[in-house]
Amino acid sequence: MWMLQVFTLEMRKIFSYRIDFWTQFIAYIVVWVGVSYFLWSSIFAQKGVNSIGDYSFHALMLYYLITASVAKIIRGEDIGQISREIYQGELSRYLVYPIPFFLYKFVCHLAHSFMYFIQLICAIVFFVFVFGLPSEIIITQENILLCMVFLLLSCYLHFSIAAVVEIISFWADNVWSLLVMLRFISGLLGGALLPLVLFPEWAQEILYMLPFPYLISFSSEIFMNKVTFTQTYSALFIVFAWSVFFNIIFAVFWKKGLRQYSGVGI
Amino acid sequence: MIQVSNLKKSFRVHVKKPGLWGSVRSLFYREWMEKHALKGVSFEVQPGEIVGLLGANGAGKTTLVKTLAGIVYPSSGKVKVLGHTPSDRKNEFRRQIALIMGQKAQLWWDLPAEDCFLLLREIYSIPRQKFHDKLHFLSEKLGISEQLNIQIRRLSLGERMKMELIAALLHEPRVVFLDEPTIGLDFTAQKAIRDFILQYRSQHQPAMILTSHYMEDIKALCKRIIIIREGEFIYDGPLQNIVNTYTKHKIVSLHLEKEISTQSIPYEIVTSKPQFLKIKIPRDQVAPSINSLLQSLPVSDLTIEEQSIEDVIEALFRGEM
Repeated sequence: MWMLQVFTLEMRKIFSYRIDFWTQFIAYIVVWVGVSYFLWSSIFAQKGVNSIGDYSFHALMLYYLITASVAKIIRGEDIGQISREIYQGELSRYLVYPIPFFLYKFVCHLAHSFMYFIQLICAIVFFVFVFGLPSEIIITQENILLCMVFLLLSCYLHFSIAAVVEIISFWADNVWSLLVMLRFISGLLGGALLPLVLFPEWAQEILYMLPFPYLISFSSEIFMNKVTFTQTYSALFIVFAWSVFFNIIFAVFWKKGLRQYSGVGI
Repeated sequence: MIQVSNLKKSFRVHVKKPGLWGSVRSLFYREWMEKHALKGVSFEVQPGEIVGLLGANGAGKTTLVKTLAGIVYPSSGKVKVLGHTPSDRKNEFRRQIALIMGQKAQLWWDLPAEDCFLLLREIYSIPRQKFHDKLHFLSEKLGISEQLNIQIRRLSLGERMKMELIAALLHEPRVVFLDEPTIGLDFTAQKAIRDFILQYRSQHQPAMILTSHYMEDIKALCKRIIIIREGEFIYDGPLQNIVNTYTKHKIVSLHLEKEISTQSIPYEIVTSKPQFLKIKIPRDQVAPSINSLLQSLPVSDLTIEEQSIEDVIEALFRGEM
């Protein structure tokens, strides 16, 4: 099974840079959760409240820890790799292999996501061990399982969106700014910067029709038992619909893009 | 195995004027230029044939190879490789071809070659036993069995190229495209790779297209060559015939017993030294001309040479023939 081989190959690549692997993880989590800690502790202190938008300070910190990790999980590999391969002509080597490029890249992406998933488990265990679970949060086995399934779908959806943006480089040489924009938008509208429950209700209604909340915050909310089964099922449908939509766009762009491709550099 | 008819390929290239103003201007207005890389080429390659594709940089060699491998779409014309249209990129087609690019690493930089080969085994669905036998045979043949577990980035250029060759041939392709496979290698590595390619050809009879700037590669591997200039074929035929086809003269060197006046020599003089002359004689007049020179001049020694293949090809590249 070539997919399994690609998956393990990517993991071996990640392991070959083990210092980078750990420093990146620790730096990202520490910075992200650290900033959130200082920001929200001062907001809680100034407002003199125990909870904001259904989240206690303790739960909010857990939320940030999970969303920070989930953001890394769904983004998987470094952004800009596909566009760089198109720009530099390295795509050519994949075109001669008898495997679908999209699937190959998704499996690579998944290997990175899996490594970040392991890191997420370490982070949660560390959090629970040091700070304990927030008292209002009940985590069940069903939630954990559902969260894992949803995380996989979120990975696929994010990869589908990012792949469409990346292959714009068939026409525009540099799509870096578009990818940064996607990162920012997915962070903001995906609930990594701010829990979506803090948005106005009308905005939430629109937001939950878009793909972004299902990229980052929804998995965290499932884990923290903050969504109902009905909401989860409707989310599954929305994720599926958006994935199909972006896959169709990808297929069209890919077909047209390859006609443009000149394989420069070889 | 390879059939190409009236193949054309054009690219639209962005033209930017130099300097800051050119860059600012290109933000608002882009100028494009149509570059015709292939201008209607036709040829066929049979099984077991190694065709050398020669041309100056930018002549269209790599574009042709990329089109045959299905990497780029042709603008017009007909291309069939193993009965498939390469740009359709059917898996059945891709399973039977290999592309080796001397200037671009295709293996995974951070991994040992053996890990890369294991992935290729899965991609090409090579049976386990056959894969191990083949890998053992190829690595022994190229003398790199010891390096299979070393990361690609830590290998020398020659070792890396040998690994690339193994990677490309593990699945026993029926059509092989070799784009400068010996570029940057030392003589020993070049020879090892040439010998290996010849052996692969004799065992599997694939159709091969080879581009190289090294005449040694071409002479050792190709009986037939195609010379491409500005997207057009200017020669397609046996390597040995190129001299007969394009040179109208032979070079005759004369060692003389004493110094003579060159004014009486009725041929073009290439080099003139005291007691030595090098002259060009039309091919069809060599025998009578030599006869008359021997009678009229105090010749002590004489050699007749063909113009070298390298010189003829170089002149063809420059458009001087």
